[in-house]
Amino acid sequence: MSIDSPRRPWAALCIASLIAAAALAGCGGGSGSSASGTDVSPNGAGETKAVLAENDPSNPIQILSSQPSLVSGGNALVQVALPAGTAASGVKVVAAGSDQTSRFKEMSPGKLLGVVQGLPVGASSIDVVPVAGGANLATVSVRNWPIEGPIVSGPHQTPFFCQTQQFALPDGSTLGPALDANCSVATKITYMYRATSGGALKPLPSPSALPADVAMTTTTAGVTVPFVVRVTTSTVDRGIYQNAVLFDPTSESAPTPLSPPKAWNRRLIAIEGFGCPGGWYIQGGAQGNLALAGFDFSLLSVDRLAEGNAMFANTLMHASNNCNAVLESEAAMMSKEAFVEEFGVPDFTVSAGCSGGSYGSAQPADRIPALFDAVMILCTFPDPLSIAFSGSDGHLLTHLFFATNTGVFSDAQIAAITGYKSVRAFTDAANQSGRTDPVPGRVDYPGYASAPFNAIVPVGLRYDPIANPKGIRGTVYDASKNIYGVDPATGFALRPFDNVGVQYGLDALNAGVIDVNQFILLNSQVGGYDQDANYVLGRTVGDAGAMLRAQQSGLQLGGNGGLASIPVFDISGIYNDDSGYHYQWFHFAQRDRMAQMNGNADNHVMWRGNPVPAEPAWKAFIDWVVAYKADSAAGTQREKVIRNKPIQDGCWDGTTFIAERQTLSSAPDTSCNALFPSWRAPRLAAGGPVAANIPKCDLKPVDAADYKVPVTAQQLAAIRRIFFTGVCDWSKPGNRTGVVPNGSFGPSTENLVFTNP
Amino acid sequence: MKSFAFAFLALLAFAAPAAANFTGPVAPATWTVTNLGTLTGGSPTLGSAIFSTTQLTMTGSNSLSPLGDSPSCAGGFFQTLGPCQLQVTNNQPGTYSFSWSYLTSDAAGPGGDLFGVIVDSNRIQLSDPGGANAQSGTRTFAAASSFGWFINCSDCIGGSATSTISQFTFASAIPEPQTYALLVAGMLAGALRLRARRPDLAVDPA
Repeated sequence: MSIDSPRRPWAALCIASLIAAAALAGCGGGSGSSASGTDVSPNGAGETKAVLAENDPSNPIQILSSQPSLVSGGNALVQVALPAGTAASGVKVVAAGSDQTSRFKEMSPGKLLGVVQGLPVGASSIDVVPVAGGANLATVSVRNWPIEGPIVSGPHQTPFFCQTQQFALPDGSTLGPALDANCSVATKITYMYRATSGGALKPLPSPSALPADVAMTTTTAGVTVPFVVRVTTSTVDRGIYQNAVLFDPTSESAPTPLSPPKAWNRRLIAIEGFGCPGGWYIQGGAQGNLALAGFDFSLLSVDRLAEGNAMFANTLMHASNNCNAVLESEAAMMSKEAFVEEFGVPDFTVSAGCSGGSYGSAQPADRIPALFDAVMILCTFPDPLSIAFSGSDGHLLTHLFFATNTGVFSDAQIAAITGYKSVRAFTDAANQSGRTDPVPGRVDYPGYASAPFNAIVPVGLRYDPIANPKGIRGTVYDASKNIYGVDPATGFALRPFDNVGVQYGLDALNAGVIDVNQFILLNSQVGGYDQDANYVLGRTVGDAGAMLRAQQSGLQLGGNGGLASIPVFDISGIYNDDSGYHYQWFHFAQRDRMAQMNGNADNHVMWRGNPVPAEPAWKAFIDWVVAYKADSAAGTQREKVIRNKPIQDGCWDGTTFIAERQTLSSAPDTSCNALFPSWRAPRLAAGGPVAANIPKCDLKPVDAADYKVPVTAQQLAAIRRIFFTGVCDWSKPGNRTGVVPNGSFGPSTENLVFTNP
Repeated sequence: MKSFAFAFLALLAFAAPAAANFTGPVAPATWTVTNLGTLTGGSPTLGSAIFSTTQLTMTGSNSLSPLGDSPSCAGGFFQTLGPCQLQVTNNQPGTYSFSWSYLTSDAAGPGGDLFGVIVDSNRIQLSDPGGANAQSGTRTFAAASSFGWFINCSDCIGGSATSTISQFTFASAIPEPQTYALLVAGMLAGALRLRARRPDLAVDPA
C-alpha cells in the first residue's frame, strides 16, 4: 500500500510553529563574484584541503544534516548545546525568524535536537535566544537551496525528461505524473514485508496489522523485529529518491530523528547503479538495483535490510540515468541529507556498487569528503572517463587496423600494440568510445554504437550534424558540459581527450613484436578526432580547460579527496579480460591513482576471484568500517583506517583465500596472477602509467635511447617528423592534478571552481 | 551469322584509339599540372612536371620547416596522404599503362613524399612509405573519367621525391569519329552478306 504524505513526514508530528514576524532582511542573494565561463578555483590545482564552510565545532549550534551552506529543501537537522547552567526551557530556537523551539527535544543533558523547517531559499540564520529576551546565545548562518537543486553541479540540464509515470514502487504501483517541470512528486510511503516462506519482499497488506506469515529478523545490533520495511519515495535534485529501513508501522510512531526506527542499526548504505551510455537528459525510470555474483546492491536487498541497515538511492545516482559524477555527487549529498532529516545521523554511511556502481561510489566519495565513510567497489572503473579515453584510443586503432591499413598487422601484433589480451578484447573496449560520439547511426566497426540515448528522449531533439545541428548531443562530454565548458562557436562541450605525443605500440616495438616501419606507419596514420568524433589526420589536442576541470571536478577520479581517508575495498566482481571491457587494469588504475596522490594506497584492499565470496567480503568490509570508527585514539582518519584494516590483498582460488599483494601482470609471476592474469590498454602499452590519469603528457624530444631495437637514422628522422612537437615523457606528471574536494560548478559560489555561461 | 559477329568484333577491336608514349590523344598538352595545398615553411619549391614524348618526370614540393620538424604543409602530416601535392591529370577515360620509378631525397625516407595515381579522382598510393628510397614498378589502370599521377609531399620538408613515368601507353574507351564510320560500314557489309544468303536459310535441313 502507499500513503501520500508530505516529503518531510515528521512535519505532521510538529505542533504549530510560532511564526515570527521578523523580516528576512539580510537573507537573499549570495555574495561572491560569479566568474561566468571562467576557472575560479580557490584552491591550487591538486589542492586537497576542503575550503567549504563547515560547522564550526566551537559553535553551540551544529547542522547535522549537511554543510551549513548547502542546506536543501528548507529543512535541517540541528543540534544545540545549551550553555552551562541553562535549562532547555530557558531558550528558544529561531530559524529564519521563526520560533521552532517546539521541534526540539533534549535528547541528552544539555543537548537539544530538532529539525528546523521552512528555511527560505538563500541565506538565513538559526539562532538560540533566551526566552527572557536579550542577546542571542548562539547563531549560525545557513544557506538553503531548492530541493530540486542545483547546488554545486551547475545549471540544470535541459531538456530533462520526467519518468515518474514509469517509476515502479515496490508494491507495483507507479508514481504517476510529475507535479511540475522539475519532475517532482508527493512523498509516498510504502510498506513491504518478508514472509516466513522467504523470497523477495512482498507488499504489506495493511499498515495497521502484521500478516500472519511475517518473518522475524535479528539485526546486527541484536534487536529482533518483524521483517517489515518502510520505503519512502520522493524527489530530490530532480531525481527519484528512495530510502528503505526496517520499521513496524503497527507498533512504532512515524520515524523522526528524535525517534528513529527501533531496528535501524544506525548504518546507512548508498545504492549506486551501473552503466553510463544514455545517462543524460532524463530523470530515470528506475533505481540502479544490481545483484551480481552473490553481491546484492539493491534498495530492497533482503540480506542488508535484515541486518538493520538503512538504504538510500536516487535515480540520478544510477549512471544509466546520469553519467555526470558532479550531478551524481550532488544527488547523493542531497539524498543523504533528506535521509538524515527523516531518521537521524547514521554511525556511518557506506556506498557499494559494481561497474557504474564502482565509480558511482568512488567519485562522490572523493569529491565530497565525509559523504561516505567507506566504499566497496566491484567490476571497477575509476571513472567513465577512463573507459571513454581508452575506448577513444582503441577506436582510432580499429580504424587503422581494419579500415585504412587492413592486413598490415597480425592479430598478435594488434594485441601487443593495444595491450589487450586479444583482438576481441581490444575491439570490445574500443567500441565503448561510442559514448563520446554525437553523430547518430555512424557505421563503423561492428558493435560500435554512437550517440546513445535513453528511448524516452525524442529522436527529433537529438543532434544530427546535418538535420539537427542544434540538437542535444548524447555524449559523456556534452552531458557534463557544466564542467568541461562549452565552445561558444558551436555550443558543444569542450573535450578533454588528447593523444599528442602518444607513441602507440611502443612496448610492442621494444618487445620486437612489430618492426620499426610498422611503428612509424602506426603512429603516422592513427590520427585523432574532431568535435564530432569524426576521424581526422592529425592527433587530437584536448581543451586545456576541459582537461583541468575533468580533474578538479573528479570526473577523472583523483584519489586525493575523500578517498584518501576511507576504506576502499576493491573486488573483481567480473573477471573477464577476454571480452566486454570490464578489464582488470582498471582496478589497478584506481589503486595507483590513490597511491600517487597519498604516498601509498594502504587504505585500499583488492580481492580477486571468479567469483569472490560475497558474504565474507561484505563482513570484512563492515568490520573494517566499524573498527576504524571505534578508534578513538589519536591520529588522523587515514591513519585510523589503515591501522584498523583487518584484511589484506589476495585472491580466491575457489573457497581458498591466497593472501598476496595483487599486481598487474599477464605472466604467471604470482599465485594470483597465475589464476587471474591481467592485460592492459593502448596508452599503457604506449608507455603510459597504469593510473591512466595524465590527460595530456609532457613532451620530450624523440630519443633513440627509448627504442630497444635498432633504428636507422632515416627511421629516427621519420619518427621525429611524426612527433614534431615531441613524444610523451611519462616520467613527468603532465597536467595531472587531482580533485578539488567540495568543488562547486555553481550556483553555490562557495569553493567555486568554474561556472558555465 | 558467325561471320557477322566476327566482323563486328573485329571492328570493335580497332575502335579504341591507342597511343604509345605521350603522343596523340595523350600528348603533353592534354595533361594538367597542378600544385595543391599551402606551404608555410621557408624557401618553398613547388612541384614540377617535365614531359618528353617518352617520359614524364615529376618532382614534388619541398620547403624548410617552420619550426624544428614541424610540417610545412598546412594540414599535412608525415607519411599521411594530405593536401599538398603535385598532380598531373588527364580527363580521358581509358586504359593507362606505364612504368614508374621513384626516388626520394627526403631525410626521413619515402614516408615524406608519397607517389601514386589518381583514378577517377581517387588517390591510390604506389610508393611504399616504409620501403626503399628508390622504388619502381609497372602498372595498368582503367579510368572511367580521368587519370593522373601525384606526388604528395606529406609534410613537405626534408627533401623532395622525383617520379619518372615511362613506357606509357593509353587506350581510349571512347571511339573516334572515323572509328564510328568504319563500324557503320562494316555493319552494312555484314548486313548485305546476310541478305545475299537469306534463300539458303529458307530451306529446312531436316
